[in-house]
Amino acid sequence: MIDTGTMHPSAERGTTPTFAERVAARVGTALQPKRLSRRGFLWRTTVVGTALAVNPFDFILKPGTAYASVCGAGASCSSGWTAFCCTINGGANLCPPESYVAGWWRIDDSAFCRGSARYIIDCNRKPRSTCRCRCASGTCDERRVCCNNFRYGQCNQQVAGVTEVVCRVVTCTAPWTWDPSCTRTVRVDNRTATHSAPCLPGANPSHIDMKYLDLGLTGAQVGTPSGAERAGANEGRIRNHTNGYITYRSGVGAWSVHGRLARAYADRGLEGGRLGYISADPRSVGDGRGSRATFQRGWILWTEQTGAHAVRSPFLAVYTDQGGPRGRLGYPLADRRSSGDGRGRVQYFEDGAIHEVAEWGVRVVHGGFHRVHEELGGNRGVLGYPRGRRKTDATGRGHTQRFEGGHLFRSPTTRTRPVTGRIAKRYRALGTTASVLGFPTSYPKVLKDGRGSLQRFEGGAIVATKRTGAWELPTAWLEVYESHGGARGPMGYPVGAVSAVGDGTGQLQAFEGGHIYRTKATRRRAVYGPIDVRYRQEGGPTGWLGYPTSSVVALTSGHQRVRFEHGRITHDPTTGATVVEAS
Amino acid sequence: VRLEGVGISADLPDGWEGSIRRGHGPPSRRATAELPPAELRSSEVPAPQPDAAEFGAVTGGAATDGAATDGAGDAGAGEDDLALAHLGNFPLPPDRGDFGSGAVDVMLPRDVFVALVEYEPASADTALFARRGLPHALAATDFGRASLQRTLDGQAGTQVFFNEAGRAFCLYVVLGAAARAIRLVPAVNRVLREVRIARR
Repeated sequence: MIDTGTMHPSAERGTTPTFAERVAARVGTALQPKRLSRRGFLWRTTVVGTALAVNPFDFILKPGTAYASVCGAGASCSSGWTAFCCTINGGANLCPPESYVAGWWRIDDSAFCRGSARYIIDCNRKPRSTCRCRCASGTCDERRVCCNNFRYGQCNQQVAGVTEVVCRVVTCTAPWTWDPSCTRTVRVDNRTATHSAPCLPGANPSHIDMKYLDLGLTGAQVGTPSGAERAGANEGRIRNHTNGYITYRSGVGAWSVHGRLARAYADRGLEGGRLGYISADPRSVGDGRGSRATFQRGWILWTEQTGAHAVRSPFLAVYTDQGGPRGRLGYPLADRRSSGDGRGRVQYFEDGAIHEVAEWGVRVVHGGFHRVHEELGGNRGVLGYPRGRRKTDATGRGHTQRFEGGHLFRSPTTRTRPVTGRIAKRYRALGTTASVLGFPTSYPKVLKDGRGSLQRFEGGAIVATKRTGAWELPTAWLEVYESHGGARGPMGYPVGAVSAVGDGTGQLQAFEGGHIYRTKATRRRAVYGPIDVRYRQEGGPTGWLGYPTSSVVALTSGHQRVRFEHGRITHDPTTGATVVEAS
Repeated sequence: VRLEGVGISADLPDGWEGSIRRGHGPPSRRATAELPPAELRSSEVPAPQPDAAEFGAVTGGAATDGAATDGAGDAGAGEDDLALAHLGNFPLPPDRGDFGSGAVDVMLPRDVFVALVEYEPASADTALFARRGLPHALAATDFGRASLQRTLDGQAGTQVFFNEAGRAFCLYVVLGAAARAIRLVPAVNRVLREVRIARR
């Protein structure tokens, strides 16, 4: 029990009481029992403060109680009005169970909403439920409950008929944003401007108080206030609640965050952290999985599977471009972090990542491209940071993305494959997917001799070494090359591309150990070793022998032979002798 | 006396008065630009209304149905085009809620208050407004002592949501005395039969 002690400041000063002090004294006398419990004292203080704020002149000049002034006109049961929901709903400024939002009216220029419009929203009995007509009790809001069979009619118009108004919700937010079932048809009743209740904020509430009202007061998901409203960073305001926070900043507005999203916000420094002030209420993402809180400089996204993580500028713009959590990237798996190489930053998502490095800016890698990029070591692997955006390839069939160390390609018929290093340089020079090679079908493969590498494509392969460079072999040429042992065979590595022979009828491709020659009539033939050397001495394909009509074949005698259009060359490996014969 | 405006007309018998006006704009605009509704008692001489664009005018006065603009975002699209008609057989106080608060408080047992309140056209297709046509033949049994926005001793009311001419309306009627319903309801019906709603 607390002795309230009724000495007034003026008595302490020995001066004439001020107007406000006279008011307070009168109120105190009117309400003061001999001794008050702490709860009673707080209650009286609230009632007095609200009475003065709402209507100080009426209260001091007219007989009556502070209660009457707090609750405004028509507060008795016999006045015929309906009680406020917070009076009968455990302090919650929400429609009670078994009632629904049925309509609303506006009160202009309301002191209860800092001079803006105030909205009274009727909660009517659901058609197949029951309720009993009665008077509210326990406070000065003794208005009627579930008595008036009346409907304003702007909300839930899919529900036919008229039922009793159970109680009234109050907001400073337009009803059609408070409840999307409400239409914008405005009905006005300024004669109800003073209607209020002790459970509602008084006149000139703070922005945070108004927000708490709109959220449902004790029914709000943010919970009840657990501390006083206080100054926040950058001239804003913040208040802790039992399950979250409400913040306000001029130009941003008052907004709330609750639950896991609120805990994540606190972990990131609240309004003084990098996210800044809350700039929208939390919302479901709409995929049945997650929710989102919005801040001045980012979002926090939460799902049961991924936890709560922030996405901040400048990654946020890219993330939203990609469709946000319902887009390609999905939910974040962690906050943004340094890439660890001192060059850039990265943030991982369920199906991709956003990378940032000074040279190339912010880039997204998602889906199969992301998986292959990570498989190859991510930013610190062979591909390095993404240089460009994923885009449609040169043929329009598939997609490609450029990285510092190469490219990724995929098409509807080929999986994601990287093309890097020398092979990538040659592939680009050829026109990538628009070339005869088409899309890559394999990863680059280091050959067993350790000298070079080979990568297969839809239309052939590129074979490369540091010494010989990277050269493509279209499929038909590749088949001949590989049938003679490929890079490990006598042909060795290619040293040039397929080129036209000077006679205008044939083509050839040079290798370390020989050539492949082709005409339409003779097809592709591999000629290598001493036979190729002798063939070249005899003039090659433009000489008297003409084009080869066979590749190198081993005879049962141990000799090797190649037949030409006009002769043959036979080589004896034992003696090293080479014989040319005309046919 | 004939009232006309916002696509509604009403021929009122002697002793009745009323107003037909446009709906409400956003609060900020309303606070600075809205004028009181046109009001006439049948015993008075009709006069041209000063702001025909904002309110329905008495026949013979200024033009009606002028388009009022609404640049603010608080009101819905076309909000200013929605009609609000108040009719009564007693002096209607100027400061009234859309459903008659302020007027019903001063009603005597012989008095009747009628509000015809329009909603946005899209509402016309909803279950709430499924009934077709303005009722012209209300029965005393349609009225209830609890069917009131504000239940006041002795009074009775009825509320009917309906659509007509592609428009959505609520008809709200308050009787000064439920006990006089047998005499008052026919008077209401006579007035309702003289109300016309035009397609917009």
